[in-house]
Formats: sequence, C-alpha cells, structure tokens
Amino acid sequence: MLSVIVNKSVCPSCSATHQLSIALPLFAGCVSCGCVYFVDKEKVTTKTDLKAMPVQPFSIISVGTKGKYKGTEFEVIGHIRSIGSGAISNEWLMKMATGLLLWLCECGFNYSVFDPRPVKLTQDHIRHIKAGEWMSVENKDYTVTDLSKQVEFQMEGQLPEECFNNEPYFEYNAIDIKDKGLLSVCIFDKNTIEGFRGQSISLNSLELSGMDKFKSWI
Amino acid sequence: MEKNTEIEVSKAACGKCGTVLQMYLRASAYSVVCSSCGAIHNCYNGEPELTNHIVGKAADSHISVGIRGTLKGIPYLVTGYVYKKENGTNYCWEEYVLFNPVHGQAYLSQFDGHWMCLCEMADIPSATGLVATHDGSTYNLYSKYKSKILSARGEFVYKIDPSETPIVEEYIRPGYLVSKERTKDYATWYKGEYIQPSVIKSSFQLASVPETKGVGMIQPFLGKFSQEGLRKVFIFLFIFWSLLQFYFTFASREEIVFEQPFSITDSLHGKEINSRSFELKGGTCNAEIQVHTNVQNNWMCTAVTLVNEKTGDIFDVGLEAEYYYGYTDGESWSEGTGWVSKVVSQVPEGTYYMVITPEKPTSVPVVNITVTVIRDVFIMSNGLIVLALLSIYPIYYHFKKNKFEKQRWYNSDYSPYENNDEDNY
Repeated sequence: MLSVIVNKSVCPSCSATHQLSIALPLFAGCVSCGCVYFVDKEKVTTKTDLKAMPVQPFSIISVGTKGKYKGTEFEVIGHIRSIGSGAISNEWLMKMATGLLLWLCECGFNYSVFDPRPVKLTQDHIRHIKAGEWMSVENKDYTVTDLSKQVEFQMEGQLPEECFNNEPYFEYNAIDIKDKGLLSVCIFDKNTIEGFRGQSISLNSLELSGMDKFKSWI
Repeated sequence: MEKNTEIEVSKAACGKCGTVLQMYLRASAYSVVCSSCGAIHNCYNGEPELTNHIVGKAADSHISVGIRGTLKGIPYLVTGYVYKKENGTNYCWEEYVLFNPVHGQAYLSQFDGHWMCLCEMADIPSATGLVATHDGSTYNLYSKYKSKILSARGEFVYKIDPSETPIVEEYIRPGYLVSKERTKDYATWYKGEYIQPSVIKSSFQLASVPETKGVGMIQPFLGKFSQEGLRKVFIFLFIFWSLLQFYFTFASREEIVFEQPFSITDSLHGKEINSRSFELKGGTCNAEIQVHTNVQNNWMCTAVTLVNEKTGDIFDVGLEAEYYYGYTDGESWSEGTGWVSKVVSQVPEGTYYMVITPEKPTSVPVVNITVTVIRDVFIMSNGLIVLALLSIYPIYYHFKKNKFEKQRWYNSDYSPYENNDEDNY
C-alpha cells in the first residue's frame, strides 16, 4: 500500500476539498475548476493565475495512474506540462510505495525516469556548450542532445513547492554514450544550475493502470 | 482509403484561410499545419493559434494524414506529412510522421520509391570521421547535407520552423542507417530500416506506391536474403562437397588387375599386340589404363583398345608419353613425363584383353613399356567439376553485388568506389 499523509485542502476558487499526498508547502490543481493554488505550511491557500491544462487525448498517464517501477508500486500524484521553445515535455510526479518521489518524464513520446535529487552545477559545466557537444559531470561525459527554454508552465495534481517553476528557464538534455544515462540540466539563473540524472524506460515496463484503454495500440 | 473511426478527430478553422484543420493529437502536438495554405499554428494549448510562419502548400502525398497502418507489428496513425529537399540541390523526399501512444513516434521516408522507417534513438552512436558505430555495428558515412522543409501538413509534436536548415549526416549499413540531424538547439539521432515498397502498400492499404528508381541508399542486396544466410549455405555446401570427396577417396578400391611389360622394337612399330586376358570385377565402374615407358628425350605413342571377350564391346584410348630434359644457359630443365594414363568410365565387369598398337620414333631401336590396368579409381576431376559448378553462383553473386554497391554509392560524395561513373546508372 502507498503511504499517504492524511491531509486536506480547500480550493480557494470553488471550495472543492482535496486530499493531500505530500507534505506542505505545496501547489495543487483543483480537479473541479482546474485552478492552481498554493498551500503554505499553515494550510493557507492562495490562488495562482495558471491556466488549466488542456486535454491530451492520447495521454496514457494522468494524476491517479498507478503502476510499478523496478518492482515497486507507485501512484502519479502530480503533473507538470512544460512548453519549451521547440517541444512539449510532460513530467509526472511518482510517489513510490516506499515514500520516495521520482519523476516520470516524456518528450516526443519517449519516456524516462529521473531522480529529483539535484546535482549542483556551475557555469563552468555548461559554458559555450552547443547541441552535439559533450559536457563532463561527476566524471561522466554527456553529449548534449537539445537545448530549450521553457515558455509556458502548466500543472495538475500536487507538487512540492520547490518543484513549481512557472518562470522561463533554460534546459540542456544530455546522454552518456557509455551507459546511456540521461542528464537534464536546468539553468534557473546564473547561480542556480542543477542537473538531474535519469534513465530511458519503455512505457510497457511500468504496468500502468491506464494502459487498458490503449490495448489496440500495443 | 478509409480513416479509422476509433480515433476522435477534433476540428478547428485555419487562422489564415479558414480551411478546416483536422486534429488527432490536439494539445499533444506542438504545431499544426494547414493542408490548404501551409499556415503554421501552435496548438499546445488545445486550440490552434496562428504563428507568423508559413510553409509551401503540400502536394498530394502517397499516404493520407489520418490513415492507420501496421508497420513492423506496431499500429500507427499517420499524423503529419513533410516534403523536404536537400538545400542547394534538386533532391526531394517525403517524410510521414507515424504516431502510436504506447510505442511513440516513427517516421517513414520515401525517396525514388525507396522507403525507410526511422525512430529516434534512446542512445547515440559514436561517430568519428567517415564511420559511426552503434551496438557493435559499423555504419559508413553516405551523405552530409542541409535539409529544408518545402511543404507540410498535419500535426507535429515538435515545433515546425521552415527557416531552419538542419545539418543531416547519414551513415549506412545496407538494410539500416543511423542519421544525425543537428541545429544549434538539438542534435537528434535516428535509426532507420529499409522497408520494401510492397510492405508499405499492404500496411497502409494503398492502391499504389511510387516505382523504385535505381538502388536505394540502404536497400539490401537481394531483398530479403541476407549475405550471412547465403554465406552459411555456401559453407554448408563446401563442407558437404569435402565430405563427399573424402568418402569417395576411401570408397574407391584402386585394385591393380593387370600389369604386363612389352618391348617395342622396330618390328612391332604400328603393329597390333594382344595382351593376356584379365578379369574386371565389381559391377560397372571405371578402369584406369597406365603406360609407363623408358623414353628419354623422345616420345612413345600407344593406342589401347580394351576388348570384352564375351560381348565384343570395345573401349579405345590413345596414350602418348614424351619426356625431354637438358641443360641450357646454366640451368637444368625437363618437360613431360615418361608415363601416361587415361581413365575409361562405365566399364562393365567381365573378362577382357587389350589390343595395343605402339608407335615409336625410328631413331630408338627399342622402347620398353609396362601397361597397367587399375580398377575403380578415384577421379579428382569429377569433384573439381562439382566444385566449379558450386562456385558459379558465388562468383556471379560477387560481381552482381559489386555492381549493386557501385549503384548504391553513385549519388554519394563518400563512395568507396573509385570509378563511379558507369554508363548504365
């Protein structure tokens, strides 16, 4: 069974009640009216001006989807949709049965799982790097596959406060040729550069609860 | 061509010309392009928003957007079509975007009637100089160029930007390709596989597909036959041939059934000499007639007729031995041998004698010869004929493949063939 912190919040826009799955402070999306609001440590809610997330008819994963990753059950509790300068990426927050949080990411219908614990980087790591060139992080050489800038941010479900970022920021995606490990470098400002490590995965391996609807596509 | 009714299509008007935009992916797509005027819209928020970009109006495509087909066992929906060209040349090709929500996207590319299916790679090959390696396989650089979008229609999960001219590097291993598409913002690797036109036709239930011209960039030689498969067949045949030779060598009795010396004097020159009788046993098989002579710097010619005493059947052979040697310009030399033999095939068993008609040079008073008959000998020449017949196809295969490969590389700036301008291309 998943471990859940029993807690509730009330939507400041439509007064719908939501059960919270993660510790405060957090951002939550109202399933009734689609508005996104902030819940601080004292459970005070503040409405944001984020737009509701549009319908994606072919999305297999949504808030509430359950599955297994490396043998451990998880439930999707939050979803970020980031519109970049060249493509759209989806990031679903997986709450593992162990309590651990991981990100299930998708771009161009290619899927990967990322560890939310960042590797602190400096400008030296990324200085003058272009697509196709390599960068060295923690003694590993990564080849940069794309550079993009977030132009729009959307969310649903629940996210820890530190994961909410509706400001434009730059992102480098890179891959290690040797072990096929992924690295996503987020440049929030010149002093805040974080790298996140991940691995490519096959959607079929996750035993997703939402897969039944897509049987004809398997 | 019927469109699949399971898929919900949403419709909206083009912001420029008002034509209905059919959308399958809706907010999952980044761009949607009007099939009528080529206006590009951003649609990541669910509704198309007109941008300032426009591409050329798309010509009729061979596969319609909205069609479903199964390729390599995976059902796909065609969601987009792009017509591209190599910048600075007249080479144009089609690209279809195939979508599957579980397996992701694939791309079908068609040039000169040759099709390949490409997927974005989760990892990237190692590319140095003219070679790229991936999963232990080597790919050779075939082309490097800038591509440009001429026209498009449908939905795309990435931003369509007609002003971009990505640099494309294509590395091939017949049947397969890895290619890199690079701009300042991305460097994406794709892996492609040749798809027979007939497969495309049946997969998407098309009335026709364009005729193939020349040899495709990654078209495999002999279509479905792999070179490795053919190599294994020929190795098997060679081993089989060797074992057969081995068997026949040991199965041959090689029994000396007759041996008789004769002294050929002037009086016997050109005369018929009858040998004593001898038995040939073991059913019908061959017999080797050997004549050993003592000729030195001379010749000896003998006609031998093998006669079946009971039936009168005859077998004629002519045997000529010549042996010369000497010392010229400080070097010893020799030519020919003093003995000669011939094999008579299909000789039935029975009692035989030989009629020998010798001829010798008049300058030599006496030539001594020994006539020997050996029953059931191993004949190497038969095996060599079989080997030669077995070699015909590999040699033909080699030359045909060489010509095929030259044609493949004809359009490449990186051809490994020196003379690449044959008339028949």
